[in-house]
Amino acid sequence: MARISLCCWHNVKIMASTLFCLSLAVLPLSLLFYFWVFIFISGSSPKGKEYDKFIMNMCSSSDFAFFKTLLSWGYFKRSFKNCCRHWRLTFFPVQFAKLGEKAPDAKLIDMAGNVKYLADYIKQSSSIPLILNMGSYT
Amino acid sequence: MMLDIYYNYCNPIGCNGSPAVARFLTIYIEEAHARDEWWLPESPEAFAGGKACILNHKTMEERITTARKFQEDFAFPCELVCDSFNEDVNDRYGAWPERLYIIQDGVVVYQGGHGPFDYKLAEVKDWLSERYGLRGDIMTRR
Repeated sequence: MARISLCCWHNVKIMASTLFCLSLAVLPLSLLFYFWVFIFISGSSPKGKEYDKFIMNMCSSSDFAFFKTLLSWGYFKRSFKNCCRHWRLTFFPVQFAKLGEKAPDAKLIDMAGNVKYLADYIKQSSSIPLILNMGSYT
Repeated sequence: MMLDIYYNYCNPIGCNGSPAVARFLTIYIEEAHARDEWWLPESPEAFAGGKACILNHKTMEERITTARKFQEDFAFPCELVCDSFNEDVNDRYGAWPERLYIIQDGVVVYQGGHGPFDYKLAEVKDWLSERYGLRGDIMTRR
C-alpha cells in the first residue's frame, strides 16, 4: 500500500514542493554560513600554535564567548566585507606586495587631510629601510 | 617593543647618540574591532583606552579624527598617516587587521604575517639588529 501511495501523483507533488522549499531554505543558510566562516578561511587566515591556542580557549570558555561572537551581527558584517574584498580582488586584481619585489604604490592621507603617496615616502627614505606598521586603534 | 624599535633605530632626532638607520611609518587602516562591527566585548582590552567607543569610519574625516585620537591617547611619537578611503594600502598590502613590512630601495625586504598572531615586532627588531647591531634593551618578544 505504501508503495502505491508513493507513486501517487499527489505525493510526488508534495515531495517535490518539500524538496524545493528545503533547497530554498538551505541555500541562503549555506550562504550565511559561508560568510560567517569566511573570516577564518581567507579574511585574515591566521595559522600557527598561538592561533590554535586562542581558538581552543575561546571554544572551551564557559560563557560561550566564541559562539556569541560568531553569531553576532557585527561579525557577520565584517565577514561579509572581507568576502566582498576577496572576490573583488580576485576579479579585479591589483599589484600586491610580495617579498623581494617592488613595493606597490598606494594613496595615503596625512593628518592634515592632504593626499600623499607611499611611493614618495619610499623615495624619500631611499637607502635606509622604511618600516611600515599597519593597523588601527582597535 | 614598537617604541623600543622607534627610539633605538628610527628616531629622526637621534637614537641615544647614534643616527637613525630606518624610518618608521605607521599607516592607520580600517578598524579591526569597531564598536558597530566585529566588536569583542569579552576582550579585556575592550574597555581600555576608549576602545569600546571606536565606531567604523564612515568618512575620511572620521578616520583622520580617530587616528588623531589614537595619537593623543597613546602619546604616539611615530609618523602617522591614514589609508585612503578606497583602502589602497589594505588591498595592496593585505594589511587588515595589522601587519608589518620593511621596504628598502623600493623593494619589499620583509613581509610580516597577519596580526594579531603573526604581527611580530621582534622579527623587525631582529632584522634591524642583524644589519645595524643590537641597540637598546632586549624586551619581551611578541
